[in-house]
Amino acid sequence: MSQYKALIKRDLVRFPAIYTLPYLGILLGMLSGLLTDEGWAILYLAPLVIVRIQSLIQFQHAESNFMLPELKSIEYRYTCALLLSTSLLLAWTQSNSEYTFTNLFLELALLSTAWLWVINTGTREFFYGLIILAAGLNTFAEMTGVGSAFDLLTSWGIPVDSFLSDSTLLLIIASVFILLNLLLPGRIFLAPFEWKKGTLRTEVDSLDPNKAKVTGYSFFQNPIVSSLLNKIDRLFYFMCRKEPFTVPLFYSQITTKCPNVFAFLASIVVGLIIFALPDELNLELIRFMISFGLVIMLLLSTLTTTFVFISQKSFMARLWLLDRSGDRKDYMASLAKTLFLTQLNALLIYSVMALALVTLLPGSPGKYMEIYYISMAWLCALYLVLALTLYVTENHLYSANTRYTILFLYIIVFIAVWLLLLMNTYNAVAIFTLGTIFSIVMLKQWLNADLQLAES
Amino acid sequence: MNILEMNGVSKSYKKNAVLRNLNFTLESGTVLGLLGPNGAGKTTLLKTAIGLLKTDKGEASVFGEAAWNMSAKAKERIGFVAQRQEFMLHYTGEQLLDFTSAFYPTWDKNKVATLVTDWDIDTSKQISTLSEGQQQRLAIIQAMGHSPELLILDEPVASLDPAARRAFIKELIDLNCDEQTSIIFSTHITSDLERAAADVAFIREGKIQYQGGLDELKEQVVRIGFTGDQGLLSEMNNLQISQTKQFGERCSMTVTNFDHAMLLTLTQKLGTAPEIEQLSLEDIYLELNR
Repeated sequence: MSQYKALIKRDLVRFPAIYTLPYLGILLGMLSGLLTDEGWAILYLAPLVIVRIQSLIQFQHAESNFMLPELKSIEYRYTCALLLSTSLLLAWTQSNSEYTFTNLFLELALLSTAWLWVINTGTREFFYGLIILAAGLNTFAEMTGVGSAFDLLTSWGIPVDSFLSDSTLLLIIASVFILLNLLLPGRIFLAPFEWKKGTLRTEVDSLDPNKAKVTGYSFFQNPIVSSLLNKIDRLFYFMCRKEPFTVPLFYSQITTKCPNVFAFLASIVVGLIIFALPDELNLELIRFMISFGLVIMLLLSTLTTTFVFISQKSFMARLWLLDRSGDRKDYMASLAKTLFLTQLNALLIYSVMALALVTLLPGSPGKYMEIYYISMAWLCALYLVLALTLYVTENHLYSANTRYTILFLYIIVFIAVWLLLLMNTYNAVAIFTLGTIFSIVMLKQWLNADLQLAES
Repeated sequence: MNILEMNGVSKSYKKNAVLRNLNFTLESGTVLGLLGPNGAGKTTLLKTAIGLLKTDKGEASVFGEAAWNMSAKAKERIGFVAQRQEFMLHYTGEQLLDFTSAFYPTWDKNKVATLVTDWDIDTSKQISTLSEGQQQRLAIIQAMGHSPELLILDEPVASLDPAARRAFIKELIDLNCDEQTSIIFSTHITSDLERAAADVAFIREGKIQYQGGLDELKEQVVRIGFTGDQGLLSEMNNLQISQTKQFGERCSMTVTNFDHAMLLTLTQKLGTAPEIEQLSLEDIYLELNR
């Protein structure tokens, strides 16, 4: 039992998100009054599984873990128990709903399938994308009043009604499916496997943007899929592709690529769903969903870009020696420009996507789209401030903890600002102005800073 | 009794062959130092020996079990310190040791506390804030806390200062003497190896070049000095000469298979007893890798 306690303690220290994020989601749902009881079930399950998978993948990349006796099997049993018990607990709390059990079973089935994929391939980004998509779909179905994921499927013409009428059969099939999905990853996870360096670790081979290659780029093994995704991703760097630091700092980073790629793909899927829905749906609500979804994607994108920037501190120090900039100020300006343009690129891409999706819908864009644009601009301004501040402040050296603290704080601030914007659009102007002023001040400080670019 | 065996082991990374038909054994209670140039395959050997890497060919076993499918019971008898630490950096040292202790029924809290105090590690600090050397010490304590029967250390002293290295070496010797712990450690610092190891193994280009007692090795590889021409001894077929230097009338030869029976033959050949100079391990290593 002490081993299980150790794992719980570890997760409490390492992944407090397991316990905090779902409640934050529930709180947001309650405050906005938009989420029904089934809606927040996935809000709990998704972060729970994300952090668990994160933990399991980290396990695969730390060789010292291999030597801890029984850790693998205990980790596996702990994950299964956590998934099952949480699902059952959620089902119990929603026992008044018609499709509670079947919904939860299907969600669990989906999550366990994703787990199987991740354990087998080690590509967590794919899993995250799937979770975001699943959570988005389910919440979307709830919020647009379609009812449940089943009803959504029915609206697409998939005949699930007759199947659903025999709930016993459905539960048996779902149970067997879940059981298989929990057992199969177990077989893979528990089998001996060779320790190898993180498959997601990237190394930049060349500083020349035209010759840059990234070793360890194993996002998708299929060359056609990989090439397609790379092309989509290049969209996000169209303004700063030729900047000397784009390649080593951003363009080659898998962590920066993934949210963008998935944002793009998820938006296409969401767009398709919208057009497949019946006409009588609340279009205002759909616009809200689009703007909210895109801002979330932008949040992910800008956060990862910022983190990559900060985490590359020592790398930038080495680059200073290789760089051909006239002086230190040119070098610093070049770095700041790359960061700024990358953020701006993302802003523009998301804006175009939002505009395209919303104008294709009948009716007027409404207040949500204004809020969306303003909040995006606010985010861009503030992230620049955040990145530069952390970079110039020696006391805030990048660390895993800094990252999670910032992530947590930013999500809270972001949600607070968003709710504020919902109440009064004029607040947005003040916030945006403030963010921009901060950005300009910080940029000036950055360019004038007599930085020691020592490795730290 | 051998607690670790590798027979005909080959291991490649893509097309780069690192271990080539390698044979290696470790007897129970032995302290063995593994020495070899960069890229010779030291780390791969150690990782293959305990099942972190899979052999392409050949067999690796530990405590009589196939290393690749080692049971939890066998793992409980092993302590391993990797060359590069991959801690949970957000943990404090105390949390890390606490976490590790949950997986070992034989975890010795008193011993760990003593080591933490002796090695001056602030376990209340987050690991990411510790220096590289302190992190290395913590990893060593983490591997020793359950009093393993076999301790495997991949360049454990690389980040340690001389005082810490001495303390660590002393700890290894004590472990071996008190608990009969078998130890393998790879290093580039031959003076540490001389201080701690009873046996040495040289690895070069994926093969074990020499494995045996350190004292025997020192007796075998010597420098012979005599007055006369180097040709005097060149006809001795059983003499393995790695290097010959002629300084005027003085000749110096490094021999890698010297034994005392040979001394008589040499004396007869030269007409006088030659000077036999013992070499340091570093010199021996360089001679054998010439």
